[in-house]
Amino acid sequence: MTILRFLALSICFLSLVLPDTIRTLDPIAIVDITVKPCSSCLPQTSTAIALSVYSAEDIKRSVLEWRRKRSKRQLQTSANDESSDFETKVIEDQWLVIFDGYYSQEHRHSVIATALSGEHVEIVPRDNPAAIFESDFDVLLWPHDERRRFIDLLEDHEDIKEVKQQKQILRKLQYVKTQEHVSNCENCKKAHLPSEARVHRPGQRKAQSVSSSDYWFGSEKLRSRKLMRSVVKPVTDELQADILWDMGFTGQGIKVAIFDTGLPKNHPHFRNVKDRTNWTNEKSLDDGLGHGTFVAGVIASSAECMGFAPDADVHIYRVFTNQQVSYTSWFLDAFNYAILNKINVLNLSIGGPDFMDTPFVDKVWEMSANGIIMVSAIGNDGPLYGTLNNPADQMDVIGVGGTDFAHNIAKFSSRGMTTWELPGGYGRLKPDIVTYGSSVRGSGIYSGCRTLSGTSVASPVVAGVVTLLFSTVPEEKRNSINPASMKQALMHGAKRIDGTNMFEQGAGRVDLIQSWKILKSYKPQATLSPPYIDFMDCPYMWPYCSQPLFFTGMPTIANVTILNAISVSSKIVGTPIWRPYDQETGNFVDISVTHSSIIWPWTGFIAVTITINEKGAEFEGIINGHIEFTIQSESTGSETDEETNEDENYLSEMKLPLRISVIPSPKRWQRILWDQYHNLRYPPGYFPRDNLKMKNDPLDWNGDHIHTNFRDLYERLRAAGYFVDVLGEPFSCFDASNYGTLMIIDSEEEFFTEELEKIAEDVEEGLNLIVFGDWFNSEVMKKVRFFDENTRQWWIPDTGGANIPALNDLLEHFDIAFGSIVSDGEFSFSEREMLFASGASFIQFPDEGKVLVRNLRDQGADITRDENNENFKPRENAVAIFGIHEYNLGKVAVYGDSNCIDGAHMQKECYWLVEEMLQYFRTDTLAEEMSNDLVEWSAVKDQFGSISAPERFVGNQLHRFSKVLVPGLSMKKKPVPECKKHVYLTPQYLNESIESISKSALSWKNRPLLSIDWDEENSDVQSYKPLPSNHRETLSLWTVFLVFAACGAALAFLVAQMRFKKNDREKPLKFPKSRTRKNLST
Amino acid sequence: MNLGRKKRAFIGISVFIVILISISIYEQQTSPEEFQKAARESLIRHLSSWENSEGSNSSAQESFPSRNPRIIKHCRNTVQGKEMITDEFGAICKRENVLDSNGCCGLKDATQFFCDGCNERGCCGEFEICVSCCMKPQNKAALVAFIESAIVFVEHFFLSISDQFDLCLSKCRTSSLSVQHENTYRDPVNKFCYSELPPLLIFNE
Repeated sequence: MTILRFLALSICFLSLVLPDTIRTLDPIAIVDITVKPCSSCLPQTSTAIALSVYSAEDIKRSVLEWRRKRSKRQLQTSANDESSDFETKVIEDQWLVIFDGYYSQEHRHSVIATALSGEHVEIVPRDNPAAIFESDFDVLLWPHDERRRFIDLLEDHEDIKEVKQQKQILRKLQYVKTQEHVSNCENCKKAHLPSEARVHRPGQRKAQSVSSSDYWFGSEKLRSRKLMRSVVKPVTDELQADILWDMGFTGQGIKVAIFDTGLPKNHPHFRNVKDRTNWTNEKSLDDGLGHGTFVAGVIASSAECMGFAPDADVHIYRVFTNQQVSYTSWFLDAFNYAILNKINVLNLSIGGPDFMDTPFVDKVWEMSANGIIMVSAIGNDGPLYGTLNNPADQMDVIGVGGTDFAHNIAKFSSRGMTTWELPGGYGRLKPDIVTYGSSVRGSGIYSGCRTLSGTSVASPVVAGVVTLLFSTVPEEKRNSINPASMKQALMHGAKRIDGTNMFEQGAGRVDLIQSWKILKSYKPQATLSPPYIDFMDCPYMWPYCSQPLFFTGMPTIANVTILNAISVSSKIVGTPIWRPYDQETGNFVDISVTHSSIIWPWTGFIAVTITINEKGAEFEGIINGHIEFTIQSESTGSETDEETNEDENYLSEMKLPLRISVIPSPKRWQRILWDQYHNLRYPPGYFPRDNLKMKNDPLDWNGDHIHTNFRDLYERLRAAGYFVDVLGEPFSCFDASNYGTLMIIDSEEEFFTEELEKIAEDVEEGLNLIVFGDWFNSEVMKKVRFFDENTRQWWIPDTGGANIPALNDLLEHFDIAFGSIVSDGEFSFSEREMLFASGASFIQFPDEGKVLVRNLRDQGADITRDENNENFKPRENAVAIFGIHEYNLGKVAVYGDSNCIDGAHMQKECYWLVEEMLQYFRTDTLAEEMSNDLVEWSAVKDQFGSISAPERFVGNQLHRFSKVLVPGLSMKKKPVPECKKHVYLTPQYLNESIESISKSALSWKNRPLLSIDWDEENSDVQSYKPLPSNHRETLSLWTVFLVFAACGAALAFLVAQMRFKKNDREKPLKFPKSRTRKNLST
Repeated sequence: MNLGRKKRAFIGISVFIVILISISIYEQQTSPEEFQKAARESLIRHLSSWENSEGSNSSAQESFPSRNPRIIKHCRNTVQGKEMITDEFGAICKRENVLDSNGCCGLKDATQFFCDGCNERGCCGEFEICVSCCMKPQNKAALVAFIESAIVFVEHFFLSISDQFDLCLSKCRTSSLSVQHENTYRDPVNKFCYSELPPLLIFNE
């Protein structure tokens, strides 16, 4: 009876708690971790290392979300756009009375009656099965206008904790009505753009999206059905692991470490768990979440849902608590223990954006240097570019992206180049490889199987594959297996996925059998990733294939990763050589190369900078050639130390084929320069999101590059016939006469004095300027500080969404200034729906300048308001958010918010606005709808006289991350640095037929790796026998068994003896009463 | 079952003894504390015996007494170094001077017990230098003291460590003691420490 009572009470308790916590308790949906919400500030950061898992539900939701975004992005053509959303609603007349403990219904009602001293109120009756149990709340009905009196009366009673308004959570279908753009199409027929420019314009799209809402709805259903259907086949079957199992390879003898949430003891799926250790502050080795069990299952489960290497030695490292908290310091100690234990393969289904956590990054390098193959999940932040997670974005780590079972890149899979190298350089290729990460079956937390999605799932698939492959290598050859050689085997065995580029799929999807064949005859060597650069190979070689090179363009950089499996440390010797295949065209291109001074651990980079020189100014066509360089590895195997190392075995000749597409320089108006230099982001500093509503992702961490989160804008501009260059240096380093437009989008950096002067001059002489500002208000900045649980310190933003004081310095010459009001809201402009998501507005503009004035919510006041102030009413004010003006030969267009062109958390796009700006620059005329909305500043300026100019945040830490400011709080600027000087390689012609070389080098195939046969006399793999299982381990198991058997016998004996004496002894089996009670009330 | 009372008692007692013995064996095998303690004690014994034998040969550092890389079959070394390697005798050399045959640093171009760039706290700028310096015979006493005092450095530390080189390798690695605010080093320059003290806390202002 007591047990029943206990159970019933816990059900009752759950039923009370569940409505509030149902979303946090979802056992599968693990997204971001660690930062405990703090009620007063902007909560939840994802700086932390995040467990990268999605439940099927999440996937569905994110697909929905993405669909919705896309359908919105694909413009106003769709008549109306349906999407579902959650909404909480306050129920006016219902009040929640919360007691200080759990009481029976009668008791609760009597408390209420005494509190109200006889006054009658209606108590909402409960008709659920839990009603008979004790509870800590009741719902009361009384009219809204009498609330104060009732609340006071009730809260005076000592048994009543508080009285709250009842809330209801509604899921509703949202209709976003957008206008049909009939008039707009007239507009586009004005044809002030080159003909291909209108590909993405709304009017033209209309024909394709017939009855668009039905269309989207229909495809939605299709997609979710596809997800379900794909569950059928186990992932090990898809990758044909059974072929290797049948040969006797099951991961035996390989130590695989799983850094995760732990594993329950004696899980039925695992037969070879060698070690479980806990590195967290929770005293438990068990998995409370199921994440770690699932991951371990994908690698090494031996029952039900099979893992890849069921006989591998499994080492469990618990580095995440059940609250999903984890710290760098826990990882450091756990990693050290893994080195001590001589782990072979290590899976990290985790990731976070902080690649500047140097202790962690250094430690991961140290792991690789010790020969541990690190496999990690690339992240679940796709389909946005620039979302790679650390440590998967490190060169030495195998970074794994996810696909579905139909071999499409999964939406959630993070992608885009690494952003470490910005602004001066260009990112490296990542992920390295992709594999199944959507709806994969793996071990459940106690037994049985479940289905999960996420790169957290893809990572252990590869870790399992690596472990299995490792065990196929005969013992005497295992010293040739290291992080580089295993990565080579995977990447060269991979199958490329059609239709997606290398920044989404890396080398392609894993092919276990192909990689096994490669490993069978593998010889340590050095390789490159990507293995070539081809401007003609679309879409794989995006973005290289998306824009040809031309004279006066900014240098194009290809950052190629070197994998050298011969030795952990090696270097490039001599000078690389550029070998064009044609004497004439080879002269048109200037190539310079920078590379890592030491290739360590196992990996390094070689960055190739390509520019077209004056000789090629008129050339249109293809230039073929390759870059040659030599890697000197450490010698191994020579007899004495006197012997020199100049053995040719340790010199690897490397070739990087290049195929460059060249055109004559485009016209000035077609050319846009993107300012990368003045973008700062997280890490290293706390640069807040440009949209203040995105509380669960408060950091600006995507790099702000046209090939990361501004990729859609780039594609749009390219489709419209513009050419976009990236400036990774100060403004003093470009020739403005080449460019029609300079775009400064959402800049966080300060400007050098020389830059301010140069831009003022350049605009007078005909350069046009597009500036997208963002919110900036020091009060708001104070408010959005938060306590970062990961670094255990307060984070205060170093700028607002953009550095408006710095932008005001730049715009001062143009008589333009932004104010400190932070606005937010929907409005219409040029007959389109627009969303202003946390942005700034003008307080100053040239009198004849044209501006757009709209009434928008004062979001700043809403954020900084006193929380106890109940009388606060959201305010709206008229703000000038967009403006244009001419200055001599150049023009300036300024808009107050970058959210509508930034792919991160975009809600409503406004690429059309950028295109309109560019149109205006070129034609001097504005589209009619647009000019109708604009007014002259002189007519409206009186409204904005009282708004203050934003001041730099006193004591801000910007100087620590700035390239412009001198360290310290003085806000002094450094002298502008010199522009980069490239040292060009002299071309050395290769007198060979272009056809033969370029074909063999460039036409894509899985190019074979150099190989030797490990086992010449015995090349048949069938003859490799699995290793006998560990002797000692079996012995100790026997001992344990015997001891248990003996114990059992003894117990039986003792019990028999006892029964002899006391036949009638009764054993009470009761829960102490006090305990049940205590459990519930806490 | 017509056994006598004595016989039955005898069987009962013997079964009980067998059980007791096997339980004690089992306990010995599995108790991690016991195991750790044993490991720690054997490590201390090992370190102090080495100290004694070297006490007789006082000019240890200069003449590489116990170190003849040509005779030794196999040297453990620090493996991971970018440019430098330290072998199990505490000799540090450039990677190219490591003997391929056994993994020891060669006689030429190697320095034993190299401490340049280590500060008075016992923290060094490079991992390899830290290991080399830590191997210094004078440091042994401090290491022994550390092992005796440390209840558990990390829970499982002593199980896998057999001698001073192992201990130095582990001690010199950056660990939870090396960081402040989790994502920065306490001392970004001298972050590899063989001493008991954590690196000096440096504020980067």
